[in-house]
Amino acid sequence: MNDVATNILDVSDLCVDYASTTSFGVTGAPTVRAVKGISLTLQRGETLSLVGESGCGKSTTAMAILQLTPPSGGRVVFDGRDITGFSHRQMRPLRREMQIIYQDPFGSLNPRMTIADLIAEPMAIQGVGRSGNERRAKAAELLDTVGMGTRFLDRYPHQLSGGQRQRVAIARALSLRPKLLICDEPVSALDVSVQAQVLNLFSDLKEQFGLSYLFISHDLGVVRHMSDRVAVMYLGRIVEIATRDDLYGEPLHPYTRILLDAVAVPDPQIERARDHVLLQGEVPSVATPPPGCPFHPRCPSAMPVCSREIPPLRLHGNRQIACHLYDEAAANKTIEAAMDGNGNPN
Amino acid sequence: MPGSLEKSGPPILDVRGLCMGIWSGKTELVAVADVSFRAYSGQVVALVGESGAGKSITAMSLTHLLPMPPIKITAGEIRLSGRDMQTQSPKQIRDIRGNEVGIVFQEPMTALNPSLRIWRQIAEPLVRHRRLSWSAAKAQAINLLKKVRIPDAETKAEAYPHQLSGGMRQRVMVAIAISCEPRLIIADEPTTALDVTVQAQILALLTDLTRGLGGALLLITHDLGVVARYADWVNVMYAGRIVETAAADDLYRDGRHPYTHALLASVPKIVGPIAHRLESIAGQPPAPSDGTGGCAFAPRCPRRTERCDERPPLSGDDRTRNGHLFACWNPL
Repeated sequence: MNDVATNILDVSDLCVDYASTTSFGVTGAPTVRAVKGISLTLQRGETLSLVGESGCGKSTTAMAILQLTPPSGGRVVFDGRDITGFSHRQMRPLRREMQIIYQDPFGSLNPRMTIADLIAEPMAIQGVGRSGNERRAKAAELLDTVGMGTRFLDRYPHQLSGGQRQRVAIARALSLRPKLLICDEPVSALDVSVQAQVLNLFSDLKEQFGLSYLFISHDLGVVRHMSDRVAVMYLGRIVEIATRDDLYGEPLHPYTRILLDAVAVPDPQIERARDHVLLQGEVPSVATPPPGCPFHPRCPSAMPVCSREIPPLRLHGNRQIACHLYDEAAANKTIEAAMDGNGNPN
Repeated sequence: MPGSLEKSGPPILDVRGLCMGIWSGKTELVAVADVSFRAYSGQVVALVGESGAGKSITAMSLTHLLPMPPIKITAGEIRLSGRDMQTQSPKQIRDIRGNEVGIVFQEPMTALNPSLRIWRQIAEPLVRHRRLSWSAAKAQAINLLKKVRIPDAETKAEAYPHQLSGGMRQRVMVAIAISCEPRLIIADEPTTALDVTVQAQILALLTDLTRGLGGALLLITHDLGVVARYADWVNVMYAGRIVETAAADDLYRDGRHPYTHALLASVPKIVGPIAHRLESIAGQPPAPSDGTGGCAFAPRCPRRTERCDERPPLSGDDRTRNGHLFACWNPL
């Protein structure tokens, strides 16, 4: 299952440090560890989502995987090649195979370029296509693929709606036929009716091009719809990683439970039947994480051990959880098993 | 969440036939057309819709928080506790704003003054409207910070907005909005910029405080989950008009307008069956300039017929109850 040949991406113990700056931009202050030992695998054709609240390290993880932010520790293996610490020059040929789509289609498209040029630009950089005309033809084909007509080819980004701009960003990312597409909050800026169109497009493209997605979102509804597996992050760590159905069917980590509980369901009858546990306080700063489990100051099930020891991410049934509650459960089970083994009748 | 549909006394807010135009320099575009709704004491009333539907402009017009011109109220009536808001002088409006009507904006970082300490911003309406001394207002500001559950209120009162987190800033906005115990609180996408766990905290706080004050909360949002959890009454807006209005339960159980239905179907949910494809609405919401004579949703509507070239009135039928109205010739 964890065979390198079947995995498009293998990330182990990834760490990212940022030099913290003072308000005047002077560096030299202590570094902040934004991502603290993330390990995950993405199989070919799979969609793995990273969810969590702002500042949990989702986007930083994505940037470190792409080597756009240098990792300070750990390993990133893409399609069987260790790319950790690759320079921009070394990464360039690989950029064809791993593309990213950002949240803000307003900020990620150059306002002075036409749609045709925007979609053709990655091909020109990578030397794909023999001529400008050939690339333009390819751009027209891609616009069609993402559900937009060729009449948009000579328009500029400001003439398009948010949903159309995001489609252009997708066409641009697809122009090099990537194997891996990292989507960083790709639909957060869109209205729900348009969001549904773009999500359907992602599903269609996955089948059509055999893509693998690393999907980053804070929207748990969107994540449920899109993912095969889901990793929940909190303060730079993965706290639970499971298949979509396991995670939403029975969330086990207290943070996952509270996160799901906080999402309002568009049905007043369901809403009345749910009991809402409001999470106290807010996410602490990554610069000053609490000792022990990073979630313990807000956790309704915190035990004394939680403020002392950081729970490691360990296997629990079919999923991985970083929580002392489940260590304890595991420990109790071990004791019970031992007692039974001694021939105690039950 | 106790749904409150009983109408205790006259409405706090009564909007009738509101029409608003925006002067584009050449023509007047229709931004809001024939919008009517009411909010009673103890109620949470939602205006829901996508961007450009006219939710915010409707809400901001209530206290004249819009540049007029280019925006103009072309017809209709806004009554706050019985008073006609359009006949009020600018001074009278200033006496109402922040006093009888509290407002929570989406972006606390732009709504708060970055150069004033937190307590000063909460105390300001108390000094202005309640004629408190600054020292009495400061003490009251600290009480309000406690009321919106800001830990360590005395210290936080001395902070500047940039020293607080997004959630804390939005709590400060809530404290300012409730400082003069308003009859009406307008919350314009109050939690859109916040994380989901903080969102839940702020909305629970807002609804509890509104009900505690016996006021009404006008909640402007695009989030149908938030509406389901907190609203008693829902107005669905599309292209400047209310296309369906109903008690929250009726709207979600028996929404009749195809837009309401499509909007609900296009939200990916955390419970229930997972469809391979989401039901999406083709095309995109129209801009204000695209005003046509017929139903504005018709170009995107799967149930469109020839009759849709004529605008359907907001009305009920023998299946609707409790004042549930919809504007559609071919309802679901």
